[in-house]
Amino acid sequence: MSDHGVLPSDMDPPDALRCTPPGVDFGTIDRLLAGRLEEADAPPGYEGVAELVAAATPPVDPDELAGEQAAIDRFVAIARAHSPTPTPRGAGTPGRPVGVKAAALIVVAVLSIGGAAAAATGRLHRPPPSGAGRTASATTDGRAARPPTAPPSTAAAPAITASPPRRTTPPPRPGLAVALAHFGEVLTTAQRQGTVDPAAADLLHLARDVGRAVQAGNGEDAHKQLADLERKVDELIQQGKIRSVAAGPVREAVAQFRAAVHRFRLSAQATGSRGSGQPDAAAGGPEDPPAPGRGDPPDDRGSGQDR
Amino acid sequence: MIGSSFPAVLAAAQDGDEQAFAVLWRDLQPAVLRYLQVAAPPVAEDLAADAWVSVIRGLGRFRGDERAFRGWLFTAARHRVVDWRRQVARRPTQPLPDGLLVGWVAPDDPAAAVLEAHSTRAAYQLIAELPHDQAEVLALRILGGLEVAEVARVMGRRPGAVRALAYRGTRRLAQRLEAARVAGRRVTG
Repeated sequence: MSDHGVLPSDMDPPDALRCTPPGVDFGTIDRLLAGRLEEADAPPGYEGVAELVAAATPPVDPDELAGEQAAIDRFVAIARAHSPTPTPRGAGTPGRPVGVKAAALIVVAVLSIGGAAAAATGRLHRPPPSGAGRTASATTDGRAARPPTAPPSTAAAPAITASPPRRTTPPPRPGLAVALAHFGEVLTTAQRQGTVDPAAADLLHLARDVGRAVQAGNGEDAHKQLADLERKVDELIQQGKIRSVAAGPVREAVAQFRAAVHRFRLSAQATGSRGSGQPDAAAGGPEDPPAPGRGDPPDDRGSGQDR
Repeated sequence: MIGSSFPAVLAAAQDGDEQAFAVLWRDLQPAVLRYLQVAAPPVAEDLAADAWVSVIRGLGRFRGDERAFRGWLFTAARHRVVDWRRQVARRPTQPLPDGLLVGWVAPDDPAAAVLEAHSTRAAYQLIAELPHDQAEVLALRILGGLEVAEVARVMGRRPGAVRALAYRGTRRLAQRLEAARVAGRRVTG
């Protein structure tokens, strides 16, 4: 970036002075920068900006995600360093009664599973006027009212090695909603890549039904639906509607989903009441006070202190 | 955007679920990397990794929605940029190692490259050549996908100032690109 208020003289062709674009309103600038104005719709003189925005925001390139494993390694290393006493995920406290807040969070979890699945299949329905949307936004808004917590200190953070040893302890396991969201992501990614037929979107509906059944305490139904889901996956693979390159990731995602369903059932049984396991949305804890609407600064400096 | 499942994904990541973290990372890494390729091109990937480490360390205390999380990550990334720029300014001038310049060969005329070849690299270069504040605002708006108020929070400025910087930067880009378009017409005509 240039540090001065003018362009270097050798960068601007002389034509620039004769090509001053007409003024436009802030709203148009906003739409241009957000990529909501195509070149054809851009005001005169700003077609090039619309082209620039399009050129600057191409679809995600796999190279841009090349560092994923390293990032996950860092995450695991830091998470482990900050969790000296590992607690099994998904294990509810035996005998603990389900409070009103916990029940509300379970409802949010069920609804968010539906939302995730619907979003992943592109069949997101408008939420009912007093149902999912309101419940979910109430949770979000409620969290937004929490006073800011102190920013985390980085002083005591562990040193991160490039390749920390992995799998020395059992890795964290995804919960029901996350496993379902992951399954949806695998499917939609494969669909975008053309390795899965659009008909496979039904798999996600089946998975969502499984999630609902298990969270409603209908373990037997969930078990049957899960078997249907796996059978359907096998059929689609045999029919070539899930191509071999995508078969592995899809099967793996289904297996993870199955494991998450199983864990959820176990935790529900442990608490002795149906649906009382720890759904993902409740991970913050029923007693969690609401949170601020924006994140804490990521380190001990406030934003913009450099100038 | 992750959308309606974001709260569940965030909660799971805060609980140590690496797959949930991967969902967050995959959603935001391209945007933050693109921003850094404009703000600090030689070290974009390193700074992105540093920003994520900062976010991971504070993840357990984060409270907010998906937009707030995005803003938080970009705040971390911008802090890394500011640190890097300070370090560069303090160091005596040294030639960059060749390795840092691989893949960052700018076209001779980035404006023409944007118009004719829709070159992403040229688009980044054009933004980066703007005055610093304007370039930063446009990078956060276009590449980071942040709204005006979010950019204002990330940069610690007023929304009105951000809007004005965006306006001036956009007009300057338009002027540059229109000049290239006219020159192209002249050449081909």
